[in-house]
Amino acid sequence: MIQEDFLNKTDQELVTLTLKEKEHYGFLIQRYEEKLKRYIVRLSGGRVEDANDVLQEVFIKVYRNLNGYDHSLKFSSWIYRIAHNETITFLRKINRKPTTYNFDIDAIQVKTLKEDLNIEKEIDKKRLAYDVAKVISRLNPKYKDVLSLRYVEDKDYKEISDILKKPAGTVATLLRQAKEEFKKEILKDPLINGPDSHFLN
Amino acid sequence: MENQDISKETLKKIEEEKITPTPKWCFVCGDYSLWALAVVSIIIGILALGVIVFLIVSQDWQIHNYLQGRLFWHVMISVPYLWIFILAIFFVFGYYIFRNTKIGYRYQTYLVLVIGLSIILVFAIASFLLNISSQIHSVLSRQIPLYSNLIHDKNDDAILWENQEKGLLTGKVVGVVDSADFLIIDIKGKAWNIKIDPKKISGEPPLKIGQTVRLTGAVEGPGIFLVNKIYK
Repeated sequence: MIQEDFLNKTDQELVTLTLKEKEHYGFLIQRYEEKLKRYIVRLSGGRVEDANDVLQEVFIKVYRNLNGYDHSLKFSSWIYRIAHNETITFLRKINRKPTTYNFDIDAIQVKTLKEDLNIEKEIDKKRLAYDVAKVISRLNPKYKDVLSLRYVEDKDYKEISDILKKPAGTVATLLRQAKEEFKKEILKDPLINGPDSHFLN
Repeated sequence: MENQDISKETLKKIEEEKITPTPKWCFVCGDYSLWALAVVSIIIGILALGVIVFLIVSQDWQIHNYLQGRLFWHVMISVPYLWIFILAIFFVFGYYIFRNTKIGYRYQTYLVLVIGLSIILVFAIASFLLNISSQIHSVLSRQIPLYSNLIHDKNDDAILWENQEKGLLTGKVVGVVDSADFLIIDIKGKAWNIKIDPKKISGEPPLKIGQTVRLTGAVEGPGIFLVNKIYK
């Protein structure tokens, strides 16, 4: 019953409670653990064990900086920003670029992507998600970042702007270019764009 | 995904390593420091541009009417490179600092640049009009000899006015006889009796002793100069 009470609290309320009593931090961790782990794995294209190490660093860093959390931002944007920066720092440390993306195809927001790309026809969502993951993984990292945040993490422009620390206008431009690149890649791929394609048919 | 209790492990690590949230005042101080640095950079940029405007406006551009073919050379040596460098450094620094404030990332680059430059320009012109720029230049010229060597101002052009063959003369007023007759000592220490051509000059405010003047006209006799224009 008590646990349920905490589960119903907002992120901001949990931050305030954590600053009074650190045990409450567990609820925030539980709330973001899976989402952030998936995000870190996708972003780094790395192993889950590495992602766990990065994730723990993220939670420690978030805890240390709780007093610096700007309440004008969504807490989720702030914690994703820290996760993004920690992952990039980790990749720099091991001297690797985020060249591959591990996409969890169940997480791809097929409906939103279909609407954004004007694909009206009802199609096999699972197959489409698979094709999308394949195409996104071939794109330039700067496009992967925004597409992943928009269509996998389901973040809006403002949130993406806060996570990547880029102006909303730049995010909109990046997303537009990313979608154009994405369409081009689809049209180039005979497996996706062929007669059996579940994507554009 | 591998099952690992991140929540427990993190809380354990926090407990074991006695990790505590950084106090709020540290973040507040950090924010204020960034804003203070950004404001100081902008102020230095304003003062630098103000002095640039002052130095350009106060250059002795009239002399080109009398010394032909030296305009390009004069423009090149008159550019206040030091102040342009200071302006550029502090503008870039201020821009970088602003970008690193909590809200700095939200604005498009062109918007930050246009607004930043507009603020600097408006206040720099105000600083010039309020004579703050000239004060800065004159204090630095007096206090720092190296500064005088690096910056070319109208005093450096005085030697060009010491050219009576071309009808140019400069010096300090040492005596005023009447509205059409006064005495000066030129930069070589020679005394001149200056006669004003009443057909060319009329209604000029009276000159003050100690005032530096630049004159155009012609030598009328030994130590006598007939003036047709006075630059104060």
